[in-house]
Amino acid sequence: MIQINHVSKRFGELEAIKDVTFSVPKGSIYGLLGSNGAGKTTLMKMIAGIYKQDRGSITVDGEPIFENIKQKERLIFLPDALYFFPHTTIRQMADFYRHIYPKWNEKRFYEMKELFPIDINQKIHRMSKGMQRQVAFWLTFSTMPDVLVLDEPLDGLDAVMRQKVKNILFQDVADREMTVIISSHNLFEVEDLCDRIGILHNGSLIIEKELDNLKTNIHKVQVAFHGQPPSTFLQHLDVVYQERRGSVLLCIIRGEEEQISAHIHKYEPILFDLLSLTLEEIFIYELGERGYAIENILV
Amino acid sequence: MPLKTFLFNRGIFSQIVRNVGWVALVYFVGLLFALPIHIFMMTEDENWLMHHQTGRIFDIGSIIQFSLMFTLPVLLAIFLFRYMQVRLSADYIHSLPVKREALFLQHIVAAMIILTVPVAMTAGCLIIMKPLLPVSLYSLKHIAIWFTGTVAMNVLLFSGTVFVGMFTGMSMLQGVFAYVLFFFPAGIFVLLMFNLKYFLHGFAYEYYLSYNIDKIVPFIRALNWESKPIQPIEIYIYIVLAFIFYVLSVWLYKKRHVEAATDAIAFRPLRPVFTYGFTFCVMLVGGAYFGEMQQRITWIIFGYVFASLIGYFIARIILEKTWRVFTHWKAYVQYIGFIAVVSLLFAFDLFGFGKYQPPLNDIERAYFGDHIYYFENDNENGENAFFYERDNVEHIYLFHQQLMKQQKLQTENTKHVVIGYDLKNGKRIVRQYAVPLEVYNQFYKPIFHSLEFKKNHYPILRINDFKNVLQVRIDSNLGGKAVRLRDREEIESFLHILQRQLVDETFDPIAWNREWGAITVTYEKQKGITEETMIKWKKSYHLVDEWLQQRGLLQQARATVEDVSEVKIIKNTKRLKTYEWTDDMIERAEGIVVKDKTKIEQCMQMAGWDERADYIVVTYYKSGYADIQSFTKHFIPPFLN
Repeated sequence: MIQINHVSKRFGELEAIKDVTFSVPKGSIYGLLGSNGAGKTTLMKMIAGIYKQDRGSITVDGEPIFENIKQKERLIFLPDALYFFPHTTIRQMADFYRHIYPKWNEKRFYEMKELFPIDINQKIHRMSKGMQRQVAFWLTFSTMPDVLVLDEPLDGLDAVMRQKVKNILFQDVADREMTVIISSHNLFEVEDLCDRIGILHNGSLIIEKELDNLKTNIHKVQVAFHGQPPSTFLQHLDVVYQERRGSVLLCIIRGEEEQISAHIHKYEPILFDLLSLTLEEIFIYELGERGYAIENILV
Repeated sequence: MPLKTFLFNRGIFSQIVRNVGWVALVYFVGLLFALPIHIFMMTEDENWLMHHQTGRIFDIGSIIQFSLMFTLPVLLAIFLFRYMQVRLSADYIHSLPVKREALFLQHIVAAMIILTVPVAMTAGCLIIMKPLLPVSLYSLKHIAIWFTGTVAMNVLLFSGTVFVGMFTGMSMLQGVFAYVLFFFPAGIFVLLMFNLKYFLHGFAYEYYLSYNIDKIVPFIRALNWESKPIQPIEIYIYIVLAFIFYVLSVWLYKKRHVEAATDAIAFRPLRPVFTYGFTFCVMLVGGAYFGEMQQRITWIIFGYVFASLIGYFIARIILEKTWRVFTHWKAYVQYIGFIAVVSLLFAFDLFGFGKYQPPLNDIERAYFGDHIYYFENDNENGENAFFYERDNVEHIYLFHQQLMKQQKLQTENTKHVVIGYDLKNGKRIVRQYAVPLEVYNQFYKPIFHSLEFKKNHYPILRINDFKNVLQVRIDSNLGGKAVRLRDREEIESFLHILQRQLVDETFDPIAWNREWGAITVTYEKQKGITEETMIKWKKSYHLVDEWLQQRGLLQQARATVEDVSEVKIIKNTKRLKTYEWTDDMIERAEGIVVKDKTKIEQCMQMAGWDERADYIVVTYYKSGYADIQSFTKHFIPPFLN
């Protein structure tokens, strides 16, 4: 369980994170979305115990993370720009991790050689960016983390490798109840991965959603009536968005599918169509409702 | 968790060794060249070896030794803590489950090993080599001193560099700050002293500068280790300082944000301190530079404004890491406004420094001289420049009162005056002034006429028992003439005359410039210890001339009329310096040739060494030698008028 409570952080004049609160339950994957400069990296570095928040608290399993060795041993942060000690080989880095992380799993490290076909005696600095990212995942998974904080983790990996990495993530979450926070500026990249998504904009968390009930909970409805729609028609519905296209009324409505259908059928429409939304559409409308345009928030 | 595992981590430590272990190797090789190899090279050349004094290990290969000592610890600290200054590595290292204290401690331990083991190994080499050397270059004790001194200096410089590294996020600035840290205390002191003298009338900056403040700069101190060996107390101070630096560093490290990497100043509240501190220092340098070069208040103010402007914008450029800082001028205006107010406080002397004089009755003794030296080094060489007699103290006090009223910056034709008081309560007060000569002489006269001054000034007057005098020598400046008095009766008679002459001597600065030669008195101070004291043989000492004449020694002591064939007097219309007159010019020049003995005698009595004088006086001796001297218009023989 990761608990972020009214956290703020300032870099001089710049207020990078403004009063952010959310939590990630154990064994779940949380997607942190936002454009460049939204504050994702800053927030993640605070969750990893690198930066210290100016206000608020960040706890992992109830303990503040900053300078907390016990919790940091269970947590791995994988930054968007990777760092390895100069002139080290994979083997040397593995030895280093073995001394640093008590749960280091040498067996798993060797087993994963199959997944990451790289010579372990090669110097990491000579490798391509994509290969370096694979090495980072390899080392990370071998430390058997309970909490994984991944900043733009899939950049630079090819489709096959992405899938491999996602599979291991799923497996670890399922097997060991690993908790994951993953950031991205791309909704599609994490859509199939996350249980929950939060969108960060200019340092504030502007929206937070459970993905499972998100899709079942919001619907696109197209209706048409003879003449004008009845005035009371939309009164008891949670309408997020409406638009007229000729005689057809297009609405985005929150609520259970059966309830919405039952309500609309009472008015005997000549056309009635109920569709589910793509994740992107959901966010477009949800953000629109809060006065944001999605192009400014996600790429 | 046990302390050991808590603070030590094999992974981290081996990473540090992999990262900077090579420094130890470089250091060891460097020391090998500086000492063992160098010594073997010396043994090839016997002269070289013989010239080396025993025990001076720091002098052997000193350039390499001191270069290593002054740079390697600083570089090592920069390398070791580079992980804090680079964003990626700073993030990475601090994401690891290792406490900052543990990280810090392991880096320090690694550094201590790197800074001591090569020195110890070199010391080992020196011990092994010792029996193989043809001469004894050093003892075990010398090696121990060399080892302790080197290690103490290494540790001090290293810890200081680590300490300043906590304040900055840039490795280059860390290096700069490290040297600034060690030069700063002495540097700022000297700068302040130089600048205060422009503001505080009578400020005796030389008194404060003579503290040998450079001792506290470790680099300068180390270079003098062979002439003034390092003391145990200094080693303790270095170790204690290093310890303080470490403790403060850990404390700062824990306060420091990881994101401070690449920032010029790691702690935001310190940024203005840096800006204005830097501006202030550069301003002082500018003021001192123009003050010393031009000595005019307008130039000094220009120096302050100009230098502080440069300093301010350089500080901003470093802080903001951009050239586009010239729009931030408002803070500078505030700064210079503040400085102007402070300067006015000093200029109008609101602290009363320039007007302060202790109550006359509190003064135990007063000092009056043209240099600060004897104020601090009382009684050295039997000189005593302090006055106890109330009359003299009062004279000095009154003169001081007058000096306080004069204008501050006087440059033309002045005399340096230092006035100091030792008060009855043990306090010392000292002031220094540049005084126009006329004012000076006017005041100097009554003091000069006091017996106390003369006793202070002429050690001969302090010889009471003539029996201890072994010899008196009277030497002439010209022609190698000299008289030695060894006969007891002669010595005593002469000294009586001389003492009377000195006591009767009147204040006459122009006449003092004319002298025949010197009188040297050799006396036995204590059993077996002889001392010499010398005074000018002024031409105004007529009693001495008379005495020599009576005893028939004058001819022997100096050139007289009898030795001179003629004197030529040339009007020095162009006011050339005496030495600029060549033989040729003298021959061609029109002038009065004097052959009359009385007139020659007058000429000899009045000729002096004044430069750019009114007349040039050439004395032709019978021996064929010619001597060129001069007259000033205030002091010429009557026949020229």
